[in-house]
Amino acid sequence: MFLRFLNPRTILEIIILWIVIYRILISLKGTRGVYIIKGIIVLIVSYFVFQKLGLTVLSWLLSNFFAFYLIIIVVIFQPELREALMRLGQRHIFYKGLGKEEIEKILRELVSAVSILSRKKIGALVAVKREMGLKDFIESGVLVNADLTSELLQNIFHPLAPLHDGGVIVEGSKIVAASCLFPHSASLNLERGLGMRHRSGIGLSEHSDALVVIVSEENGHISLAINGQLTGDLTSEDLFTILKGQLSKS
Amino acid sequence: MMKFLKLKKINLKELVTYNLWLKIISLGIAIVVWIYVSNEITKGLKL
Repeated sequence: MFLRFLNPRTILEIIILWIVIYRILISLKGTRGVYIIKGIIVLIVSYFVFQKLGLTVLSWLLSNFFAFYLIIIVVIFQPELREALMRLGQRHIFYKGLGKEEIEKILRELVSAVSILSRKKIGALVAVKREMGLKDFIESGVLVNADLTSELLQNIFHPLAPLHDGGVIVEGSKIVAASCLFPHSASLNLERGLGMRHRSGIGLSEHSDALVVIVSEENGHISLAINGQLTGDLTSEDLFTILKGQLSKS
Repeated sequence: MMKFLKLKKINLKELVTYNLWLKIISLGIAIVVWIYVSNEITKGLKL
């Protein structure tokens, strides 16, 4: 049985399966989908336990309603499935990053907006999506789905604009949503002086792999949160370099 | 220039340890799925 694992074809099959399953789990992490996956795992485990214990009625019920569960899953995951199928038709199925020129173009717009907002001491919170899905946070805000431009970002964070409260989520070259609610960081190691905007930025970077840019409205300082760690008082050049490095890696 | 916390560089070690549990779980699922499907195919061939 185990000798079959030594076959290079089997190993290749398992590696491909592993990559596909890992990508699915990564895209579901931080979304409501993770609870549904947990539910499905509980049902599958229950089915095998019922079979082992000889509880025929319960295992019959679980196996015969499986088709019904599949329909429920298709209905619940309809937007995610549509997105996944659309991605299948795209050029790079396993490539999640952007081209070098595209990254630079996006960052020029983003950093330009951030440095202007910083000079004017206007608070801002911008999350740049990488691998992990941010669907739950996008749904908490207002969908924008517009090309990322410096002017649009400045407009969103203008104190009199209706969407200025909360964070903006950037995906690729698009501003996907504005006025989004990000989770506050529960870390006890943060400086006491940090405001709610910074805590939200760090919180989102703890819950996901997003890069979160924060502009303080108190002093105009630019900060960047990555993986729960905050780097403060950055110049726009620093910000551009770090973001470029991080996005080129992903 | 004040830094709240320093950024850490991503290296090979981090590449392995980043989302380690997710990687282990997905590898486990992949092996279980492969074994199950391959057994089902073998059963089908025997029939």
